[in-house]
Amino acid sequence: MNSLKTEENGKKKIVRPHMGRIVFFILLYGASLFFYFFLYGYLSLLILILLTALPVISLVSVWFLARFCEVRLTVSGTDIIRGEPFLTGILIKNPTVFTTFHVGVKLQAENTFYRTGTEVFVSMPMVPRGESRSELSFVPDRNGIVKIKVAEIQILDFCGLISVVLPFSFEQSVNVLPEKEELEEAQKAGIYAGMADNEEDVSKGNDFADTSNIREYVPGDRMKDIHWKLSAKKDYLLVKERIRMAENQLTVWLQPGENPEQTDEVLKLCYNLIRLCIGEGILIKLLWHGGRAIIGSGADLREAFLSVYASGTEQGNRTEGMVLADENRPVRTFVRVGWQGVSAEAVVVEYDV
Amino acid sequence: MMFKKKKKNESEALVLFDGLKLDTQYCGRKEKRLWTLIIKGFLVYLICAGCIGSILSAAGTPYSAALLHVVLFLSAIGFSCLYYRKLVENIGGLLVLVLLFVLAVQLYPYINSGFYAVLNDLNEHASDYFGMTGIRVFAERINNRRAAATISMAYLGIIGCIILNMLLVRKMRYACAAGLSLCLLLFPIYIKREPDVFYGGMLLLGLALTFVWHRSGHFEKQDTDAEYQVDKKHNIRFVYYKKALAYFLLQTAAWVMVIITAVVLVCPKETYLEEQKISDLKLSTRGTVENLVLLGLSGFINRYESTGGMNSGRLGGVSSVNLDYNTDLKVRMTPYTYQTFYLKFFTGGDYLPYGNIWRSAPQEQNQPKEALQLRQAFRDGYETSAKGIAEIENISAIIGPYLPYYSTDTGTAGLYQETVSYTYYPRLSANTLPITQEIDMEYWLNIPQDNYEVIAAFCEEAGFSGSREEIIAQVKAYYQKEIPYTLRPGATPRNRDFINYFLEHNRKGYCAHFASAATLIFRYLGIPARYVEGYAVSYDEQLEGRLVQDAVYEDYYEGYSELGETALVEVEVTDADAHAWVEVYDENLGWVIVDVTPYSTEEETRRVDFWSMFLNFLGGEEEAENEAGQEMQEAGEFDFKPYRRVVVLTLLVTAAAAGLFLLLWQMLRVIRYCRSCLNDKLIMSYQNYLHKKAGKYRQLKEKLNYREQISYLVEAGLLSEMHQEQVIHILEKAGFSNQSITPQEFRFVKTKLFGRIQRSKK
Repeated sequence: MNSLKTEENGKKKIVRPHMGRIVFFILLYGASLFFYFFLYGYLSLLILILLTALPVISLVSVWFLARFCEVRLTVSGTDIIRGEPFLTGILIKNPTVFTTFHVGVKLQAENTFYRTGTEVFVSMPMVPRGESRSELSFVPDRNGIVKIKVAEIQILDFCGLISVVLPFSFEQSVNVLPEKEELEEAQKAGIYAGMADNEEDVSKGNDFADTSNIREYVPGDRMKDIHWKLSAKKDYLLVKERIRMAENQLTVWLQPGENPEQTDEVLKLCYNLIRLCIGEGILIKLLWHGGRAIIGSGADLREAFLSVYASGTEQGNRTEGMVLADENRPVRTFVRVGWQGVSAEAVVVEYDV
Repeated sequence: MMFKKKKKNESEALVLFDGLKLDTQYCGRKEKRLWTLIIKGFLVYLICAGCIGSILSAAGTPYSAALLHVVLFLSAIGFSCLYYRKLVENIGGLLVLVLLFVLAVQLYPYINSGFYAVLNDLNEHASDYFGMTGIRVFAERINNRRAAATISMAYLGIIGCIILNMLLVRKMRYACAAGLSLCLLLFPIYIKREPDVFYGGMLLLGLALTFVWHRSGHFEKQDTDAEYQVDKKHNIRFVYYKKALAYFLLQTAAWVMVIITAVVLVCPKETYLEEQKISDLKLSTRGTVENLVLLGLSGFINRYESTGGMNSGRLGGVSSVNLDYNTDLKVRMTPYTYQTFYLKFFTGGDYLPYGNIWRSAPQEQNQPKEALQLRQAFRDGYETSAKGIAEIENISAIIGPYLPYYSTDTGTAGLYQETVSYTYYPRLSANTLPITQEIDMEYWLNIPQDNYEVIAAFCEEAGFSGSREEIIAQVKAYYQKEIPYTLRPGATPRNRDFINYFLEHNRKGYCAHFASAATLIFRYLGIPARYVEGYAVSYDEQLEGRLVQDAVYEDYYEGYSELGETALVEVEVTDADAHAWVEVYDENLGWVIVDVTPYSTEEETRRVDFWSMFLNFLGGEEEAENEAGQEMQEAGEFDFKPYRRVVVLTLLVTAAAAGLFLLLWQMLRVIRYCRSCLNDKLIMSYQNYLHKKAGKYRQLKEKLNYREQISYLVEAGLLSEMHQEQVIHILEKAGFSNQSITPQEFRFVKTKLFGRIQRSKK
């Protein structure tokens, strides 16, 4: 929750005159002046005095309101799933006895991942010596970080002649994560096929899990770790001793789509794929054009996706090959999650370094 | 059904941008809009009751305040609540119409009589204010004025509530409401009948609340109970907020009441009204309002414009005489008597009843025999005889001869801007030279049969009798006492005789009425008489005339003068000097003037209309000012008055030309914009936007291309950074490529870039 008194903001108040209304008011005043000097009537005197005094009171009240009002911005949660609504609360506190019926709160909403956004004005009243609260329900339909910011508030005097603009700059953000979804059997089969290929690769010496040592077989060793070729030559069983298998179980390359729809689908697949792997105790190394992350738990997954969101969708000059080549150990086989023609797919790729 | 449901769902979410929607279904809490409608109904009650109460209190008509307030309150709230749902509004509206019709049929005598009661009271006050008599009185059929006025005003108030609800509930059109209600009070205030402060305060309170509500927005009626709605610009606006609305209106009401109370305490109404002044502007409209009071709407039309009622013997057919005080004639003459100097234009011989025309006297009956004999007397050196020369210049009078009395020339008429010189031989009061001439007594004593009975009855009623002199004095006295002079007597109805209607019914009029009737009265009483029209220049006007320099007195006047030797003066004779009088025949003196028109009992003011005031400001009374200017120059002072007309006219012409030029220029721009394609429209709008902003952001002029300009606008905070690239792309596409931009792109730039201007304008 952010809270800020206007005088603490440091920025200057801006008085924005509403010229059309001022001109109309001047015409109205001129007409009443004319009728007063035409008729010298008591009622026309009252009208003239009212039209003189009301704007003065109105301007004084708006000055007090601008001086002492407080604005707060709240959101209902930090992490939400794409498509689920979140509540944004705007609260205006007015300690003065004055009131106004129109305060325009300028909200800037932005998705920092896709670099899209807009400005929206939310109008609210300001009750005297109390709080006015407005709750808006936003529904994010793109992944990323949605930032909601109160950029300024415009307090309109009750005669509608001027608005006092108070600049603000406090914001709240909401992380929008992909929907949790069980992978389709076909996709799971693909991943498992990838894993099987991986095992075959191991037998061919193309195991993407690096081998550090060869030792004799001891009961309990996994069948897939037996180095069959060498065992045949030596006549006893030898097994491959891997370098901390858990550290480098599966490398996933996240390849964003060409448009937000594709990218969202890719993110969703990637997110659920990694969730699946985490569930099975597989450690994931997630690589994308803007960085890398080792994921072993749900919290890691969240952090990794926030990092992906922070990188944005622009890939710059870094290609898939360059990113993979930058790894400490050459990555020969990995899972590429990206857009393939009509849908997001995870593909196992053998890569010659 | 599926389609409807889908459509509803679509409307529930508003796409703010690609990636975020606003769930409009959930926009805070719901609120009963009935409360808002009741509050609006209460405002309608304040205005309506304030207005009706103000009129009644100003008129002073008795009425039942409690009943009136209950009816108006229930009507205002009830009609307002009809807007709750469309169905209720439609059916309720129909029922209200039926109810109004039934009420009108059942209570017609009360409504009619009550309305007339208020009108009669107002007319009575107007009569007191204007000092008029003979104001129309409408027939009140119900004796119980209190009941009639209450019912009538309640009925009108119900109609007022319907109209005000239509104006306020949906759009809060405070200006229309104010215009309607205050216009009704203009007349009472004009005639110094101020409404009670309580009702005036009610009215002003209602209007002030509608004003601030409208100015603060959030007044439009919606058909849903959702507290928020999304407008066309995708801004989220609250619609119903009962608590805030109550606070807001209560606080404004408190301010209004404090101000009104303060004014009432500091300057009470009675004290103020005692010191009330009358503005020149009000004075200038007085004649028109008098016409309105006296004659209704027909008083605005059907009147002599600038002839002062002089119409060559044609009478009636007009409701009033409108004086413009412009110069009709310029008369150069030498004052020689304290008496009025008459210029005869028309002599009426016989009267045509119902045709309402005085026919011109036959030429042989109208010979200047007196003039010839007076001329002879002057030539013979008769002691009190004299000879004068008058030069008459026709400025804007009807073309014809304007003869000084006893002029030997009877036929020379001056055209416009032409000066005619007449020689005349005035008969001063000391000149008792007998005139010998024969007249056709039968002709000059003729009374039309249609007028005879009326004239006889009138003379009998008035009791005219005695010698000629006595009869003339009696007629003058009777007129002065019994029949008021007015320039707004009303038109003589069709198929009525002018003189009969004047004597029998209307009994008010201007000089033509008095002179016409007196002519027939004199004839009835055996005195030969004839009706005369012309101009009467009083002694005071002669004194106010401009002294003609370098004129030799003897060239213009010879002989006896009551004033001794005077000088040649030029008198500007206006339509206010147009007049009608009677000539009666004296066996010794011939035809002598008898002016029977009474002195005006109306407020004797030189009524100056707006244009006269304006023209005077521009340099009217030019000659007088020239003289004053010469004096100032002689005294070494600079006189700016002669230049005033030039300066003001130059300013006006320049302003008009500039306004016309700007209007045409704007029209051309609009036409060019409308005819352009979307690309050109965008570029034109963008250039216009830059032009407007360049005044405040001077560095903007130094930016040469779209990228630099947009970047600068982003730095200046006039455009969001996130839209920068897209706006540049669209502008470059519109400006430099051969591709057309899409309407969506056009709207995007307009919303993101120019939208701020529109918003700030709003």
